[in-house]
Amino acid sequence: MAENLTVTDLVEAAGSGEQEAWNRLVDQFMPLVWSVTRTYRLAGRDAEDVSQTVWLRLVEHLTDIREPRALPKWIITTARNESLRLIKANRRTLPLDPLDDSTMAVGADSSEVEANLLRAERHQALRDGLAELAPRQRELLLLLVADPPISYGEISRLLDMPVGSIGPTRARCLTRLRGTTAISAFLSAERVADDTGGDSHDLAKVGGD
Amino acid sequence: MTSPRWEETDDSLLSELSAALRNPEPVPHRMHDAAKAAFSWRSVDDELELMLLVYDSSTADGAVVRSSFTSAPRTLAFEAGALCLEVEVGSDDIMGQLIPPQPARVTVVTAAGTFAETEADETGCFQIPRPTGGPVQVRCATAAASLATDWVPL
Repeated sequence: MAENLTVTDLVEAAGSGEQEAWNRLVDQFMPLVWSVTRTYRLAGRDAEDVSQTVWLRLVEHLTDIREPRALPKWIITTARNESLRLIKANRRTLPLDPLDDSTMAVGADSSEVEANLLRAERHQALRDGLAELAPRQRELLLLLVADPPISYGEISRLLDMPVGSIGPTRARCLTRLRGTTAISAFLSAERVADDTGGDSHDLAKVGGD
Repeated sequence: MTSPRWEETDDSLLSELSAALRNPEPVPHRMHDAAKAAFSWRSVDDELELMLLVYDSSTADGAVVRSSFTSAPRTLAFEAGALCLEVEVGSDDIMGQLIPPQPARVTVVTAAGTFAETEADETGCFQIPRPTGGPVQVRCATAAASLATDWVPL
């Protein structure tokens, strides 16, 4: 299987039965599921149940997902709905304390939750965009964001690239990154949201049934 | 002066990429394994129809009544075309009915495999044991079709 594939390629391949494509989707999107469950402060068995429900359902819905940005949206929406349901169910089995609103605060879609989910979606778009790049471009960007930082001298040695061309190559790679289907789709939705003053990232409206 | 949008300058884009790659906490291995194993539930049977979840009392409006007295069982409804499956999830069993009423072979499946099997009678009614937690799928084989519900955690 090629190294640089778009999410659409992976969804298609998995939809036609390729386990390897499915594994790549799991590796690529599990951090997204994880950040949604963390946003809702779910842990242990609860987080596992949400995750397993998302993946089992996705297996059956692979063929419905066509547009590149649809998968991260679908995953966030499903993980969010299941997280909220679990919180409600757990709350119902807790002893009632009318003075304690702390459990309500977690379940409520506060602006903090919204901001976390939007950040999770943006970070997913960045990881997806990175996966679309050619291996050498991806390698350079990974070295540039390494923690602890790696010097240009060391990067030059590792990639067998003159120090002087790292700067221009970095600029080209970032331009490429902006142009990947994952990131350009995310950005255009963000611009629509800014222009209309509305929120096209309003996940509650996407498949929130 | 406003700060540049995250994708506008090379520096801000790179620092956002850096943040996207820092996972504060690794995802447990067993979650990865379970997710990969989920693929084995892909229905290779083209005839198997998916019944979509159309109602869930635990998420329906008005369900968040904060009362310790409400212990009504959870009800779910699934639909595929003209066929509807309604189930009530009790503490040990699932009671269900196919609408329009018809006999069917009913199976409750968990991620680990078949959990229980039974027959729905002519009225479409059945009662079947339930697992204590985790996602389940109900499969119904009627005279005319094979159907499987969306996965729902109990």
